[in-house]
Amino acid sequence: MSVAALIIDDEVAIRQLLRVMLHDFGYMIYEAGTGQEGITMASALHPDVILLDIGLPDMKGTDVLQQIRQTSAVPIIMLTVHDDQHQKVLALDQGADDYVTKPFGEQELMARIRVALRHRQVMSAPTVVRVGDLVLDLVQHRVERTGTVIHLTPIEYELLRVLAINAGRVVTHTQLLREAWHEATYQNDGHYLRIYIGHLRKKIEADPTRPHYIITEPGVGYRLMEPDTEG
Amino acid sequence: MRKQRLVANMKPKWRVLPRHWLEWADLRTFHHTGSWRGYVMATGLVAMLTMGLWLGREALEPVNIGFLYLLPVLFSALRWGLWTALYTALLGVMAFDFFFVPPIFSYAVSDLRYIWAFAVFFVVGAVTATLTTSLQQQAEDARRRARVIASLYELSRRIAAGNNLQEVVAAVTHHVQETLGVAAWVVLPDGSGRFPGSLTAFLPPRESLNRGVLQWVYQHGEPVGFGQRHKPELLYLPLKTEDTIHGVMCLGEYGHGHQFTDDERQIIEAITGLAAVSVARVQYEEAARKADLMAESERLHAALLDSISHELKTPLTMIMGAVDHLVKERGGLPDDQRTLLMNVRSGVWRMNRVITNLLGMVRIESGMLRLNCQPCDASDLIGVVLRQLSEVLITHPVSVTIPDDVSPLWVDEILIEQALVNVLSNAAKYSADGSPIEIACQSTESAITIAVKDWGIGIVPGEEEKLFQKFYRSSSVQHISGTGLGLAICDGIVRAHGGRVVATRNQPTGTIMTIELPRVSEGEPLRERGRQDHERGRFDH
Repeated sequence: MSVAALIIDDEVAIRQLLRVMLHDFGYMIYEAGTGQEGITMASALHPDVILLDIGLPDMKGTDVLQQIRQTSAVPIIMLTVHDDQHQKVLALDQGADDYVTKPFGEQELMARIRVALRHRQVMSAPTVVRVGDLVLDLVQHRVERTGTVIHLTPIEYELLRVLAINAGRVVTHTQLLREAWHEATYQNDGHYLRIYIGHLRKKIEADPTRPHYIITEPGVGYRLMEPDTEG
Repeated sequence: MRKQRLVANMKPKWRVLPRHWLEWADLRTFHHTGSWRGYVMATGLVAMLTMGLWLGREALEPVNIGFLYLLPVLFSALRWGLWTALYTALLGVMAFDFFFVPPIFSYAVSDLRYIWAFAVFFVVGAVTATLTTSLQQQAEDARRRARVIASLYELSRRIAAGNNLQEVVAAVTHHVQETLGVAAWVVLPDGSGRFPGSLTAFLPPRESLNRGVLQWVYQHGEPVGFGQRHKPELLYLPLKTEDTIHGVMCLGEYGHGHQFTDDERQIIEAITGLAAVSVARVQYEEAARKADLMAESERLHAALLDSISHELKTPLTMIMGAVDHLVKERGGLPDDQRTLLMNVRSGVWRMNRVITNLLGMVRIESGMLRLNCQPCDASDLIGVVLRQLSEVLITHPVSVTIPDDVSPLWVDEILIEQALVNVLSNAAKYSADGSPIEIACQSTESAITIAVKDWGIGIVPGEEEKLFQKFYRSSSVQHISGTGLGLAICDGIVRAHGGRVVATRNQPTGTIMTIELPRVSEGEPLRERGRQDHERGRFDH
């Protein structure tokens, strides 16, 4: 069964481009040129994934997102420009699954869609996550890299766990704080997060200045590299 | 000596006026001994009465005559004031005694009872005079107050109709001109508290205004007059509300010789108060309006930049996506076509960076750069930048040295990242393929530095400063394309963070670019700043 994707973007050429890209991967394509149209089509056609431009002419991308989210849990990937971190964070906090920054490459976009789709399909949390050489056993609370056990503190483990169950997806600072600390935290506690991520990197990365596993999305959050498909 | 001082008092000159004129005016009324005309008239009155009474003396008892002498006292009190009335009473007693009290035509008194009568007469005269005078004073005060109030009411009505400073000031000066018949100016200081400010431009000629006095009045908040003592011809009055002085009101002109009376001064004082309040109101309103406008224009500016950014990046996205797709699709593409496509791809990336830099420059230049500071690690920043530039840096071995104890940076990640991207891509651009690049981070007591060292073509001596100028391109790099914006933006961003960028020459060749950012200690100050920033963030978005 082919996957249905809804593209909501006011630029015809971008829609065309996305259609060509997605078509190659066997996706079925719906297109909407305005936010209003997009909302209607999302509720009528039940697409499997939505690509939503954040800068629509008729209404704010985040408003479209909110309206769709009221009725549907469909994976939504935002298309943004580089310099609006706040909008990205806002969209993610309002339930967007991920974002790609214009201009984006095909690989990047397809990876985002793939990850978002997988997270919707797998309802139960995974037991083992493999990311490159890193193996995270969520049942036994064990982390290994190339067969060597890595010892993590409880907070480091929690952080890695939250990143791992969202592997491939961006996790905002707020989400990480909420899910790893299990409590409401101030936004200012971001610097603790930064410190723990630093520690975690030193333990799992070969070169912490050029992280391979935990990637920083500046101003937004962190992303654990996309796991191997068989994981 | 005394005479000299008197002369000095009479000479017209600038004098600080008593703060409250009303008190001074009262004092003057008390000392006011009446005009000589009053005394002459009173004397005449008493003489006429005496003559009349003399003619009718047969029909009158001396006691009645005594009472009748109270009439001119009363009249004098009403007409010429206390002192004249007392004089009239004295005169009356004397005339009564001389003409009607036996022995007639002599001040001798045969019947001692008359002495009592005189005393009673005098007391009654004095009391009547005092009462009458004070009654009259009260009536006069009431009239004066009514005039002041009417004048103020009229002025406030006019001022209320004025929407801007210009109209309000015009209303005040016109009002003064109409009610007092003297020229008036309202002078407001310029932005830095200097006189005369720009607002005087629309007022009548002001060559005659004394700048030094204006400044003095504005600074000290005391009224100043020019002229003889107690007879000022020019008045410079501070427009004062509570504790703020908003400007100076000037009344009168040189050479016109109009001397301000007490009455006028009371009206002027009231007008000054009202004018001050009104000017303050309009100024606050204008400030609020300006702030609104500023916010609105900033919002528009931001929206415009967003839309330009969107417009420029959308076509790039199209090209980028199309090229990506073509490269992948046509796996068996001939090598030269593939190379061309890859060139298109790297061209798009370059253009993307140029656009980012141009928009960044606009933001910096328009003062719209809003720092969204967060604590972050140098290693994290460098990691992000290296990842972003992975394609550009593929031909250069990059080494990174970051000591473990480098304290966190308190910066806007996105902006510092842009600054670092510019410095690093320059290092790659202006050095031969395969030549290394070193990134070294260090923290000193007051700052954290990130130095990017290359062994490329380096900088020409003397250009270390010029490099950071907008659109400046060194003569040694004319053959390499570029906009001359990268380092200017880097400099702008780092400056906005309170730091600086320094270019030095590397030995034997190449450049060392050092970004120096002020250090922020962890703990309370960080949290404090964080909260402020958080709050500011709320207003910004």
